[in-house]
Amino acid sequence: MNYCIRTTNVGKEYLVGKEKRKALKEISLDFKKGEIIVILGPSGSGKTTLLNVLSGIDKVTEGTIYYEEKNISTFSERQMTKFRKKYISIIFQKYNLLENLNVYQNILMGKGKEKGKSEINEIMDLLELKDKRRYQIKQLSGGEQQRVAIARAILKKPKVLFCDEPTGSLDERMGKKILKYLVMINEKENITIIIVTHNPGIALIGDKIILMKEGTIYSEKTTKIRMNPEIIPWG
Amino acid sequence: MMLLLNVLKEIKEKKLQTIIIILFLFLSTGIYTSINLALDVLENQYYQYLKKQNVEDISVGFSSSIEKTLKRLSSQNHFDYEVKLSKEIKEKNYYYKILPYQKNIRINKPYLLKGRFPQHKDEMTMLPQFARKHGIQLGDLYSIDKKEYKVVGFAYASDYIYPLFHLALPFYEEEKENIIYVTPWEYQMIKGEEEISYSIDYQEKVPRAFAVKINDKGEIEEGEGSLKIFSLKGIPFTLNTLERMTRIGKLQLEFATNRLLASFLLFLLLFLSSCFLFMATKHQLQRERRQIGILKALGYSSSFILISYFVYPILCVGIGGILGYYFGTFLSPFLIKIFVGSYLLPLPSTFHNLVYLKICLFFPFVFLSFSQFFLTLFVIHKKVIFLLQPEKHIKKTFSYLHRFFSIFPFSFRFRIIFTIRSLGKIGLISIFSFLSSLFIIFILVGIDLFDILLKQTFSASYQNIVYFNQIETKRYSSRDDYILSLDTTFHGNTITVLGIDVINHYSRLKDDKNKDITEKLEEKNSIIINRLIKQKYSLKQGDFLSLTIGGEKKYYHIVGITKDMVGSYIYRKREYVNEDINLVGGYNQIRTNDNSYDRLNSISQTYHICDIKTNFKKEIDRFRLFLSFIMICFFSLFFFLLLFITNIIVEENKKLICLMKVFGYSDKKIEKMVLRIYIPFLLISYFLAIPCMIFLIKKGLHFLAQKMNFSFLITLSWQKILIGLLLIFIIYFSVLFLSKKIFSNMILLKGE
Ligand SMILES: Nc1ncnc2c1ncn2[C@@H]1O[C@H](COP(=O)(O)OP(=O)(O)OP(=O)(O)O)[C@@H](O)[C@H]1O
Ligand SMILES: [Mg+2]
Repeated sequence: MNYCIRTTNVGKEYLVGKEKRKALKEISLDFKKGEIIVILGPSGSGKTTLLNVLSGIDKVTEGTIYYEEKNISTFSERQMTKFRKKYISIIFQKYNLLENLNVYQNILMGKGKEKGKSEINEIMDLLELKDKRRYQIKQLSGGEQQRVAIARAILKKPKVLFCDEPTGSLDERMGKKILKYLVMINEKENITIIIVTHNPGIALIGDKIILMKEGTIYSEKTTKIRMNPEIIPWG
Repeated sequence: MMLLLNVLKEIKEKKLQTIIIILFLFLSTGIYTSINLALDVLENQYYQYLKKQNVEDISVGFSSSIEKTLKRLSSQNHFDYEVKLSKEIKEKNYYYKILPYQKNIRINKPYLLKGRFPQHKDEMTMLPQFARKHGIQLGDLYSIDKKEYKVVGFAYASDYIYPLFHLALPFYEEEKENIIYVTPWEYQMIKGEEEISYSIDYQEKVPRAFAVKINDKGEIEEGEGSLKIFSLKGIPFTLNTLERMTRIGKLQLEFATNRLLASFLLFLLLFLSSCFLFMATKHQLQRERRQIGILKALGYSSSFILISYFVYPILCVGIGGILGYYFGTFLSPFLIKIFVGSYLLPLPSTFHNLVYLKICLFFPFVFLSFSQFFLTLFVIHKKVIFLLQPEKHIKKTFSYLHRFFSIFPFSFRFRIIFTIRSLGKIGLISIFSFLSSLFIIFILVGIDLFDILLKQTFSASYQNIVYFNQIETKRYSSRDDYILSLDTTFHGNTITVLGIDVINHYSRLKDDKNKDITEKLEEKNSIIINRLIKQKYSLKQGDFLSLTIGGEKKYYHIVGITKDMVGSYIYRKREYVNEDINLVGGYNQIRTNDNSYDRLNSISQTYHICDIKTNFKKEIDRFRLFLSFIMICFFSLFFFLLLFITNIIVEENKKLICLMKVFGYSDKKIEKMVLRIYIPFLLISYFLAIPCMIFLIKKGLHFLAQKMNFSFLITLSWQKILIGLLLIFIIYFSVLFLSKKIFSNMILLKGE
């Protein structure tokens, strides 16, 4: 089969004071290329941690993560950075925008070079950021910041896109519009998309739904058909 | 590209810090370039002048036996030599050197600045400096020795590059000292003290070596370049050589010292600016760790991010260095004028030297990059996840402290915790205020050090000291003091025994408390020493001193110590000194108010105290000006440093300050809690600096007293201590005032 990401027995430990706390326990997953995976779970269940580990921002303490044939759990920081540049985009839960730059410049940062003006305009149009392009990050609302973060991530057209609560600060209309766009680029560019969310409705657009609980996979199921994002229940 | 923009935006955020760093770079490179460029130009001009005017390599005093040797050696083609005549006259407080002008002068050719040389009788040239001070134009009449001359030109004597007329008047005064060329015939007619010497020119067979070493006995040490070769040829040289060498070679000494000063200032200021950058970067990185984290998460490589952080030093160095270089180049002509000020050297035209531009860019860049590089490296290699998380602020030790101090009221507790958290900055402020305090104290002590010296030394009521060639016995007037001065050695150093009369007009000996102790000399074996000797050899009243006066070694009893501090003097009754050398009534000096001794043939020289005093006073004023200039520079440095640090403190604690504002603390209260914590440290360093500096000065002066023949009294009144403290506080509070403005303009934090 054409696997994109495969993890075996991944575990992650944090030191809290002198105590060791397991945030992830024995996670074994297979993601196929071009899939949309939705990870659901209550707050504190380890969703962001899993995402960090999968995207190589954080290191595992146990287990291995393979991207196609590459074992990224053995990568050095430098290799990982290089790898990320090539393959991965992340939409952070906490946006992580560059405060010194304005909206337009922040979005450009996702790509690293100033090319394809029409693409940026298209994305900004879609995310309704066009008239905010010269705004400073501090001048934006939470939802607007989230949209900038999304624009930055999808401009790059990565192989794998990680989205941590991509619609957390957005209203229903905007949220659905973005989900629709994600599904569209997934179909068009064959991008693997991993979405972390609280919102059970969003699960319906995915090919695979993973439920997490206290750092473990509680259930994992594959859906037969993707639902159109426009008709999913919200909230 | 975007990364660059990000860094540029960052610079805009910390405008003040950037400006201060650039300012320091600008100053350091500016000072460096201007001094070095000026010295280059001058040095070049100086050596060309020496060559073109064929300035002597060495000169020896006249005697018929030397003449023979010189003739023989010059015929063997060892060197060229020429007899030099000069007369000195003193008229109405002015000193004139009269030199005969001939067309065919080979050595020490005069240098004409304007007009022409004297061709007929009644014509002369003079120094343009003197002419300017007295409003004399070409064609005007000027009279010396009761005769009028027409000024036909302005000229320098090339062996008087530094116009030192006597060692007793070491500092050049434009309005008092004049060098005049007249025709040889006129020269013969003028009456004055004549000096005859031989100027010797090696014609570049031997490298020029003016650098003269003087040993403890005040003699020239042999073995230095041309001097050595000269003495090998069997020609003794006299100490007038020293005077002549100073005239020609003094400028060289300044080249070396000023270059040293320029480099020292460059590196001091560079060091400071890199310290600043270090602080700024450290703080910036704390703020930007998240940014770096984001960039790394987006897939930007570390080296790429690192490079973007070099934009900052490059920008600072570029702006500061280039501006500094051009400022220095612009400034150097003025500096040249100042340097040439007390020298008789034609003003050169200035030039650029791009080597200094390279230095101005290279060294600052090395300094700044170094501090920037290590700090950035330190942060950039941390893990992305670590960078993305907010920094844990309070370390564990601090939480214990929190608990410990919880018994104190909040604001006090806050201040303590805050102080501990910014220990680095406190250290820096303390060190710097300690240094500034040292400096302030030095200046407060130094500013009237020389005044005291002058007052104590020249408090005499007589105007002239007349020196005789030999010991005389003929008495001229009972209104004058007759003194017998003999040199003897003590611990290998020359000291002077002054035989004085117990009943005298001008030579009363006074101790520290101003009590007259002259009469103590009546006792047969008693001597009185001055303070310098006391300090130099750690003597005290009541000690016995073994001395050889007049061939026989004897023990003398110290019965008193006078307060004068210049020269190594031992006083003894003149009658007894005469007995020691089997004479009666002998003397070789007269202290007097009478000017008529100048006409005697038997005198060697007359020192006019009043002239010496004004000569010194002028130099002291110049020194004081220099001190004040240095003081202003240093204070502005201190000011900027404080401003820089407080600015960073405010920046670093922006969140905290905003939070405090939200909680309703007034700006004043915040300032008190955040910025005034440094006051105790300021006070401590100041009061620590006082004893340290006094100790240093005492040590330094002790050293000077051994090397040179004078010693100082150090005084530091409590008024001065207060003034110093006030100065420091004025600076500190003006900085606080500015910082307060910054944070009262701060908008309350928005959003997150
Ligand atoms: N750096 C860290 N150090 C210690 N514990 C951590 C760290 N990061 C996360 N944790 C812990 O790991 C657990 C999982 O956190 P994670 O952020 O993955 O939750 P989440 O599922 O994303 O929650 P939410 O839906 O609220 O975002 C939490 O209990 C958290 O306290
Ligand atoms: Mg999360």
